[in-house]
Amino acid sequence: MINLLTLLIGMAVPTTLGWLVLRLCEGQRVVLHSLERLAWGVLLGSTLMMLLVFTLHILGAVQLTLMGFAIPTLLVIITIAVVLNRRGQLHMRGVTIHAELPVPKWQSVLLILLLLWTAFKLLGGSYVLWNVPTYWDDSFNNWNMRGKVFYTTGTLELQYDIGNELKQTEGGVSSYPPTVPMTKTWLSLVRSSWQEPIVNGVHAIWFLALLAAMGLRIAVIQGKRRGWWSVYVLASLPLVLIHGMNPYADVFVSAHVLMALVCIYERGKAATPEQRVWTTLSAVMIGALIFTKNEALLLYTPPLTALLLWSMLRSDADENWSMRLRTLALPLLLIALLALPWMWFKWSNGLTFGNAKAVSDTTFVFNQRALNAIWFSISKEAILLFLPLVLVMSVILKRTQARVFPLLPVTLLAFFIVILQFSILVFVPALANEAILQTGTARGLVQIAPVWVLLLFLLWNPGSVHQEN
Amino acid sequence: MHDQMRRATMLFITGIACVWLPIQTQAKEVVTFEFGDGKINAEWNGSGPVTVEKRADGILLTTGDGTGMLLTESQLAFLPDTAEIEAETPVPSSMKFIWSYLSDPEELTAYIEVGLHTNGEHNPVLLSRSPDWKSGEKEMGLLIYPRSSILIKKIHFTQWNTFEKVTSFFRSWTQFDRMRPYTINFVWGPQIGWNPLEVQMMFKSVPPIATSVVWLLSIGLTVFFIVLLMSRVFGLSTLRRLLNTRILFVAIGCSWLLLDLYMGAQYLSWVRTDYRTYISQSPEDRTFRDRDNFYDFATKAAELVRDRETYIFMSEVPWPFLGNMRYITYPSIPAFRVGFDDTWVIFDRSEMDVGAADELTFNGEAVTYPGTVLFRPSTHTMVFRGAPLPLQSAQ
Repeated sequence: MINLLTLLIGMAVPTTLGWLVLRLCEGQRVVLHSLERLAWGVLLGSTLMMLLVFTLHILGAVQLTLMGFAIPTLLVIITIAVVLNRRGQLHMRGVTIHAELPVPKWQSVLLILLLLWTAFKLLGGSYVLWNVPTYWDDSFNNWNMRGKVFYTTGTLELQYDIGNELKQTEGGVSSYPPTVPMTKTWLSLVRSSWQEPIVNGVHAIWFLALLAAMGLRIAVIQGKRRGWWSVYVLASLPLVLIHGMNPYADVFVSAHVLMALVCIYERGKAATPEQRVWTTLSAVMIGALIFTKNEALLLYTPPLTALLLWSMLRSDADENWSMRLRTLALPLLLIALLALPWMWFKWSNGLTFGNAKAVSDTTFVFNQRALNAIWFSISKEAILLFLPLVLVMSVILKRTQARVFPLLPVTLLAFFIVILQFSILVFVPALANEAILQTGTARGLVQIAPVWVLLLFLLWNPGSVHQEN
Repeated sequence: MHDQMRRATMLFITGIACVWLPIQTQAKEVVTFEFGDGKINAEWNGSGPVTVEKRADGILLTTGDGTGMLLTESQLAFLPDTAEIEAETPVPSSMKFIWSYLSDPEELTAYIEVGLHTNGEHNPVLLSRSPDWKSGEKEMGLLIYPRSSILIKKIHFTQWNTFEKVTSFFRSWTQFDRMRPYTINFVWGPQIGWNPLEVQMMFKSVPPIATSVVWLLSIGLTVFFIVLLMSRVFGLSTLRRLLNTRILFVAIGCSWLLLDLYMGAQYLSWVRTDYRTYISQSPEDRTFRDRDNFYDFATKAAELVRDRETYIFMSEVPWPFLGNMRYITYPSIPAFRVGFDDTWVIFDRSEMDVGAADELTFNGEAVTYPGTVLFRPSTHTMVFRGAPLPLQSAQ
């Protein structure tokens, strides 16, 4: 019970920070549903709080102690709260859920049954996650191990003994952004001891926040019922459920990718005042994404930034170039500002760029076995049920909507990222094993799965089904 | 109305009978080759450097540095789906079931790898899963690897009847994979085994030797989709009426639900297993997935090495135990500092024991001065404290 309370209290702090930052970005123009802001707050807040403490720590201002985490975070929370309160923006109603037409009763009954089924799986998964030891390799070698090192030493150790005369160096897991381990450190500091249920249980909270973020955005766009359907579809993907209910970081990354893309999508269809809000939110999300996992920097940030800029250039077509450049500079600066501490730290400490393997060593050779393994995993395994197939079919059937704004950025990212990831796995010898052993493939698919679900629902929005038939 | 009902019922029963009775009456074919002394019922010849010794319950095949074979040209009257080899070996090992076609001028040999257990279990060979297994006169037999000693007792060849194949199809849906170290990277999904042996062996190999339901349904949905597209492109109005997007949606939805029900049930079966084997058990009795009682042992060991910066850790294989141990005991970490560390954390190493003088031994040789057993849940799993003998290292 103490562990559960600690987890809830511990997560309330980053959630408050995230919620306030989102509210600050929104200003007078509310664009998020109030529950959606809470879900996004859980995810974004974790990253921003750790980024704040990390920055202060590498500047020598704080140690990774309870006070080192709490004081700067609370100061920022109070500051933003005061600013928002003065502006009268602290208490504003969120956007509403989209109205929807009634459907046959059997559809509602089916949906309720499937949601109960999903809830049963989530409860079972959470119960196991809470009660079993840390089992998976990346958890005890990377995410939990680093968190425990930070917790024990109070510093961001990059090199530490890992047993039998071996040392963890900058080239290995230390090159990963420390958000996930630091969150575990923070929660353990709140509890005053390293507790497996807490450090593993936080992943279930992130997963639930991802499901809420998905469901609420679809509900805002298409209605409550479709929102619930999107929750069911996302949670029914076996590999997403397994990752969501285990201490791996990829669901956390996927949530950030989803939020960033939602912002870009919404920017594409919003009126001018809201566009500015979505631009700011997009930049914050992309900047925060960089601090979640290594592949975020190389795989997701460049296309997301490019899509944001493209979206902005397209909508500002009437303005002159100097004005357009000034407009573009703001989000770019924001992304750079958020990326700067981690980038600077990476360069200054010789941390490698790349996902577990340094990109500096990259050569290109075609690997047939890697291609076969990828094909096997998406065509014969149940990792994402039929989602890849259904998505391809949907894009072909809805090709008109898929290739124009505001959906185009979602379509492009959904396919571009996968093609890029698969190409890297097939052509980069150092990473081909990640495909053959199906480790890298799984991570990539989990990270992109929410984007695929989003695209699926946006393609089949109400009203367009009949046109096709 | 009453007549119509009666006629419909009769029609239904007749239909069922027409399908069911032939299925029921088609016989299952089994041929067993025996190898016990005095029971041998076919001609088998040793080939290559293999020693064949007759025993009461079978023949003992022993190889030296070369590869030996045991072959027969006896023909079966049917094409079997599976074979089961009753065999015994002193240690778990493997051999090959091989065959070539007598009509093949090149005498190309096909094979299936067969894993062998030590306890004389039936070792299955899923013949119909091999694309090279077809009807025709064959020479077939066993290929024994170098330095092997295998007692072959019987080989059963079976052609399963249609009833068993149909029930195997349905039984396949009740088979679940366990949660394994690879589960975080991939899950197979439902598989179809077309006979009882395939169902039994379903998740015992990587990848499963069975038919992927995801693959079957994907092919079906893709064909449906292509026909739907073609009906639009070529303006085939009748086909368009029959196959529209809505029907495709229903097909996808039903397939999705079917898979979700299976995968969800599998997921909940893992929850149940973890609850029964670990969560609900006392720390002394519980085991966790494929790692036996490692976690409770490591947690206890962590308390005992808390006052040590480093300790010596030994397990049968380094992964996943070394990394897991380091995580659990951190900031104490496993190390090999000869002459320095005095605490030995040993998990399931059969060569490690405690000698008569309370010294730790490695294959019977003392590796420490007399010391103290701090914790010993089983013979070869313990935490031992004792200074190492000079210049001794074990692993």
